[in-house]
Amino acid sequence: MAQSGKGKLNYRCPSCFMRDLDIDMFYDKEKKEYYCLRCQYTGSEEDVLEKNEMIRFRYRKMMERITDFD
Amino acid sequence: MDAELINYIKEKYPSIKCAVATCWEEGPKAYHTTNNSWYTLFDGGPWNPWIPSKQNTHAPAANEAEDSGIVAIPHLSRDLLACYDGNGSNFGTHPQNVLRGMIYDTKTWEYPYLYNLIDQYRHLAKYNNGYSYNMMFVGPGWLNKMGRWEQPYELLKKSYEDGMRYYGDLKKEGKLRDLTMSEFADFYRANKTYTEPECALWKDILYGSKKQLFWYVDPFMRACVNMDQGGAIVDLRPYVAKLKWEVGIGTPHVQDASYPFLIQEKYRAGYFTHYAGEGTVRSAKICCGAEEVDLCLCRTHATFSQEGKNRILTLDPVDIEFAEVNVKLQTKVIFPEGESRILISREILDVSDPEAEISINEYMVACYGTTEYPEDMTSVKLSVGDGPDAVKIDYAYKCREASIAGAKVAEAIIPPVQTKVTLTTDADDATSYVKEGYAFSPMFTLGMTKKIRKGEVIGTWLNLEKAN
Ligand SMILES: [Zn+2]
Repeated sequence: MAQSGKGKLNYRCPSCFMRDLDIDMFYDKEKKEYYCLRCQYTGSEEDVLEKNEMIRFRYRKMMERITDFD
Repeated sequence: MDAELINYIKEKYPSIKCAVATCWEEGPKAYHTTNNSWYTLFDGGPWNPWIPSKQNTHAPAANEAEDSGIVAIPHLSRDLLACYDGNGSNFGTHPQNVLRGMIYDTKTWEYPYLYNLIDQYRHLAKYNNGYSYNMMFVGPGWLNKMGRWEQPYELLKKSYEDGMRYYGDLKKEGKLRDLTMSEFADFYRANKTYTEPECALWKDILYGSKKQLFWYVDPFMRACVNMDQGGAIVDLRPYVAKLKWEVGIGTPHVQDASYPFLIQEKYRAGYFTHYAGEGTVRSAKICCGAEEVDLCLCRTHATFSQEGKNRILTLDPVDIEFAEVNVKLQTKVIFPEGESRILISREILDVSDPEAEISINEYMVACYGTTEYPEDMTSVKLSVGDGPDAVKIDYAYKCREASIAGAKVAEAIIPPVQTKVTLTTDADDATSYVKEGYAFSPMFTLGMTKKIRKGEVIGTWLNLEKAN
């Protein structure tokens, strides 16, 4: 089994990102998956992108242009 | 930069007048975010520019003698609500912070939050005599050709250009002046006095709550008032002590440059704790028989006003419902400029049953520290009352209490942070008390209880002094 490397972008672990940890994952060429060194998450590029968007559930005003700050 | 470094640079290179000295709330929380690999040193400082004192970088100079000779600016203008709770590096006017936090639409690459954040900073002019400040700071690493935070270079570049374009548009509209750091330092010194506080009534612009925080900083303290907890003080740094706190190898604080807190609701809990004991907070309880309601559970909103030297936070009235009687009261939090003290006043607007025995317990639970774990409290000295009648408790984790009817002062001296904090009342009929903690509630409490009646206004002062 060969060593893992970085993917083409820095993909962060979605499971850690949800708990306010920014951790880049490594890519396992043989298993074709990203995996986290800190926790147990593994997933494809597609899964990483989709799961990292979960953080947005908190941002209920994310797309609203606010003009009243009182 | 610690004060020793600023003093050294100023002596060696006197022409330097401005420096990026800290990053707002970039301490343990940001450290966690990087899996404890990015050594973020600084909690407890001002969020907007200030003149650091010669003694401690965070604590603004109170006068010319304390003036370090530079104007300090924080690295980035940060969201004063999101960054206090969460990862600082996701919520700043550094455009790529907003990408790092995923606060954009993946398909359209739009991020209104970035502009909302800049605009809320502009809005702070309302609380600071017409002055507001904002800055963007982008290092080359953030424009990495390889892309970053799951997004390509093109989005990194777009966010930077959009941010600059927004500043440019504001400038064309006459709503912004762009200054170099040196120009800004001159502007700041020409337009600010030493004791003028920096104030920010900040609202949630991201999560869709109605939460408001009020931040206050002057040469004597930094304080945060949480309107979602009835106007409780949830963070307090006693700058009045102007602690000598060297940082770096060969000093007692190799990686810890935070200004110590007396109250910090994230590192020392606040109203809610998992077991017995209390977290750090300055609040009040309204009591009726065996029933007790903490104002921390009364969510409300505030408006800001300035009367003479007083900055006043007026909270919307709240209702406290007991089984048999209701109480309506209104809180004001008043910061008199240059006095190193905070007045909290409670006006009892209504009591549904005038015969009911209602009392108020004004209290402050505090300790000291810069990180999450408790510090040794054994040097703390508590006392209640004045003069020969005062009762003293030297902290020994024995859960002791002392109270004196008619006493007007409850006091704690905290030698490790060279601070004396007192709660005082003008009322003649209050009972003042102090409480020691124990191993698994390593705090102290200062407080005063008093019967209340409709129409009454109860004023309690929180006073901070340096204690050597
Ligand atoms: Zn992980």
